[in-house]
Amino acid sequence: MLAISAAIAAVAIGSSTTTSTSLPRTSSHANSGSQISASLQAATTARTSAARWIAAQVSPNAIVACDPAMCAALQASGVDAGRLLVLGTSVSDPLGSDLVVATPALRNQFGARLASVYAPVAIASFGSGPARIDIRAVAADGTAAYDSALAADRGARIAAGGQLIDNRHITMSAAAQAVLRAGQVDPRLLTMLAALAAQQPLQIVAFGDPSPGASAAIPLRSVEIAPARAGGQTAARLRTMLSFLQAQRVPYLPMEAVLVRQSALSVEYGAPSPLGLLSGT
Amino acid sequence: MRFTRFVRRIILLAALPLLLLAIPAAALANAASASAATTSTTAAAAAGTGWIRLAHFSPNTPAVDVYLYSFGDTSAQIVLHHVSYGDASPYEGVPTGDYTVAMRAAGASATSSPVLSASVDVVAGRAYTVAGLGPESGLRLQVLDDDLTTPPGKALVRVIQASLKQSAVSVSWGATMLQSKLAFGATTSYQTVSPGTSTLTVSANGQDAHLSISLAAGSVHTLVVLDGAKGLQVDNLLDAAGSAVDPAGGAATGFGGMAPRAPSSPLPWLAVIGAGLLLAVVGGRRLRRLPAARS
Repeated sequence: MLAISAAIAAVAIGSSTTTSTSLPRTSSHANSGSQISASLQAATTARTSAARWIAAQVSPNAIVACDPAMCAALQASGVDAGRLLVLGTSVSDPLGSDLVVATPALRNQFGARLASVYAPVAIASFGSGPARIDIRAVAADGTAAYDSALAADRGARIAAGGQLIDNRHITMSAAAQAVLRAGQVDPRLLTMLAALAAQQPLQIVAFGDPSPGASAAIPLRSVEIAPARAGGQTAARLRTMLSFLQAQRVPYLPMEAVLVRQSALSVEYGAPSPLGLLSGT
Repeated sequence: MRFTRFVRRIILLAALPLLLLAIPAAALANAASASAATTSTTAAAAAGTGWIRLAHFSPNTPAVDVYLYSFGDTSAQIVLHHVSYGDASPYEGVPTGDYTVAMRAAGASATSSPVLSASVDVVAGRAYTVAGLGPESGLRLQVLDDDLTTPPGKALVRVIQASLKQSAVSVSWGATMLQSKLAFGATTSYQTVSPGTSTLTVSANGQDAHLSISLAAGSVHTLVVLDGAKGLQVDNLLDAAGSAVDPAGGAATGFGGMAPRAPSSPLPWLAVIGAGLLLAVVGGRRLRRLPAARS
């Protein structure tokens, strides 16, 4: 662990240098200096935001590939070094990880192949312009296989979502129905909602989107739910729901399940959403 | 007292022929009923029905209660209590759609939460086995797609390795090697074989288990290698008896406590009838001796 940390720190210094040298050459004019300063600030902000998001939103068992500077930022945000795959300049691909943090340095390193071959879909994005950082899902079996699995998964989510709409134990708004019909809900949420509804009627308040800048193909991973019957039993019903959620195991164990306003429950699963969970086989 | 015994024997003697008549009659009725129930899988598909059976093949995992929650139909829920190692339930016809599969330790408090384990999308006319596989520490519920039809004149066989005592086994049926070095927790795909009766041999580390198995044309079987009390054992699950017959039961043979026996050979009935005849003859002889004893 210490060796990895030291390696990350050591390469991070080198990488910072590399990143600096890759910036446009500037004159000594004050304007240019302030532009560089703004660019660096934007890069730092994007890196910090991406690191915080990964620490808070990515499943604890997911392996994250990153350049040395990004890996150092992730460690600083509390991501365990054992989950990081450091991509030095000699590494030719990010395979072996679940997610790759596409920083400007890695985009330069892998070129167009990063998005077209190794990691076709962004599950979150931070910053803009050259400083933009994308968190991308790695396609272990290639882009074509990933796209095919994603399309099949969406089909399964649409079918499962439609069934939840018909479930007499679940009430929801028209907006929530539209999201379910479009297959935009994470399969773990769908499975969990079916099981919870079998035990007590519930209301879907809203689905949430904790993934800024995600591709439209990426499903929503959070939901706010409440017991369908309000009244004196609300607190007890919420406790039952919460204890059900907390008893689950990976992949159905939510990353977060908390009471909201003492009248609802916010449930959130970690990124990335697994593919093929609904097909079962 | 002697008169009472005499009357009892008369009744017994009179009952035996009735019993002898009743047994084949019941067998015929059963066969007729099975025949009447022979709906095609196509009809089931049109009716929007698929089949699910649940199985426990994790050797060191205690018995569990298994729950199936329908995504859309709250009335279409299934609960199976106390499913133990080696158990395979009969196929249950269920409306098509998605189901969440959950389980909890058998006998656990009603307030304890079942643990979500898998989801299965039941397609019309198709059958699935949701099987608990692997060791307790890594228990997983796996959804297996069950074949219901075979190539013309052939049988299909697949093998599940559920013996924890043997890390890998080799399974052959007659001269046909079905799978060599099949790892614990693994399942083969279906293989096409010619129908017939032959010896199934399961070998691992010098231990062999043998079982004579008949595979009829059009039948589909799942052979499950289990840890038995005296070594390896094999469950022969009948997935389908023929392409025109709906799945009806989980197990044809073996040790599954939940598994109904599939009607196959007429030999058991003939044995019962034979035993009945023998009883009738012996009873008749003893009855004839009664007057002599009285005088």
